[in-house]
Amino acid sequence: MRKLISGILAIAACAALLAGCGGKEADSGKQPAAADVVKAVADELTFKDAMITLEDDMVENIYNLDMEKIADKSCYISGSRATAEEVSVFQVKDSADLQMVKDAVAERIDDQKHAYESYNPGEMVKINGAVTLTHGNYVILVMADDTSKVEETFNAQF
Amino acid sequence: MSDRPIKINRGPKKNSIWPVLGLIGAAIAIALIIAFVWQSMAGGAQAQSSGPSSSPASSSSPPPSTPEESSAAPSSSEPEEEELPVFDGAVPESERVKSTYFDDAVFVGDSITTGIDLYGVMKNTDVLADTGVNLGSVYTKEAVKQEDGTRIPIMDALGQKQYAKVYIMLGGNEVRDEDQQTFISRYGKLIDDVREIQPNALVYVQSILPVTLNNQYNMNNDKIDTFNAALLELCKEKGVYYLNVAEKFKDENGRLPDAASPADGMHFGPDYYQIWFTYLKTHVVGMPPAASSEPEDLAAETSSSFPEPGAELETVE
Repeated sequence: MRKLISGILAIAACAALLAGCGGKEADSGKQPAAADVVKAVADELTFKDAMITLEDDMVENIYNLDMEKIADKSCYISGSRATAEEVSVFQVKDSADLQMVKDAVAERIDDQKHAYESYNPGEMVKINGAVTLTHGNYVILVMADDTSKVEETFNAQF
Repeated sequence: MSDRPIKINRGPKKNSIWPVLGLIGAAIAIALIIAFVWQSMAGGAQAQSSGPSSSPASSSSPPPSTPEESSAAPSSSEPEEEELPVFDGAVPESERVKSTYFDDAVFVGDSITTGIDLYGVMKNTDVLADTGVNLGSVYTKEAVKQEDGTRIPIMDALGQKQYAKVYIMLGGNEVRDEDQQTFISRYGKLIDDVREIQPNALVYVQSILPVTLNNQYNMNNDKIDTFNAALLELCKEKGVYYLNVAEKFKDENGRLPDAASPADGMHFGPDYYQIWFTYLKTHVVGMPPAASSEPEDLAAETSSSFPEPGAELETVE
């Protein structure tokens, strides 16, 4: 009996160890579509403007990215540009290119500051409170009023 | 040349080369004499008729012209100096052009114009625009991003390349705070400067667009209309073309419909950009009037003609 309990404990310990090694980012190996991640996160947010999904080939107009290195992308933005509201998700083919995306996201945030700071300062709260998260080969940028649930929702997609 | 066929010696016949050479020599001599006489006569005729541009085909000797009309198209192809129409009002509806018309165009403007790029409305055209730009900051605000990440003012960027058409839409950020005289004075300077920077371009000035009743910028459509009326007069004075785009954006009350701009009452989405560009494609200087076009509010009839920079446009019928 004691051996049985020891065995069970050992197996449980191993399982816990393996789970710990994998960390939060390797829990299921799911590779969701960027648009699905955007939708899941956006569904938890409230937007002032009617939002639109930017056409694929227009993404490079606002993100300085080498699209050859991007496996998937989806940008959900203010439909009229009246607000800085945005949920954008990028998936890179190779994790070595994550930094490229992070840099592009940082540049996007700077561009939005440039656009709104003197023109529509009310939007600066969203821009200054921009949330950027990474999970595996995915990067998300969110600029919205209440972003408190973004991290939880984003990580739940994997 | 002689009517007699020239014999070409292909056979073994000997010593027949000299008569042939003689004939050729005579023919050349006659041709030279004729050419000399012809040149002398033509030169005299040309000296006599160097007056008005009576022969549009002979563009190698451009007719005397005022500074405004002297600029030919950059391509400097033969049939230039087309006379473009002058309108008593806005550019009237014309036959539709294809998107390629905008290949050599540039759009100068504020946040409204930035949407052309963002939404990919006309991917083949250049856009020099930035949020919040007005008739003063178009010269000073570091707006247009360069390859190295720095930004330069729109008017500086405009000088980096020559265009055949310049579309301007500014003033939306002036309406609330400026008086009409200041607005017109600043717009007049801008038009002058654009023509100096882009001497070969056709300049289109687009109306300020309407806003919704409850827009968040406290803008007033009556004041916009008044500014636009003054802008039309300015365009006539400056000899540039006014496009009454605003007429396509107004509802029955003369305002931008609320549904077009739910967030701030001024900016709109891709659907309205399509409306905008449909209007631009069907209001083109140098194109024949639309076959079934109804008379438009501000579009008056063509009264006369004046040569306009950017004469490489389609021939005016």
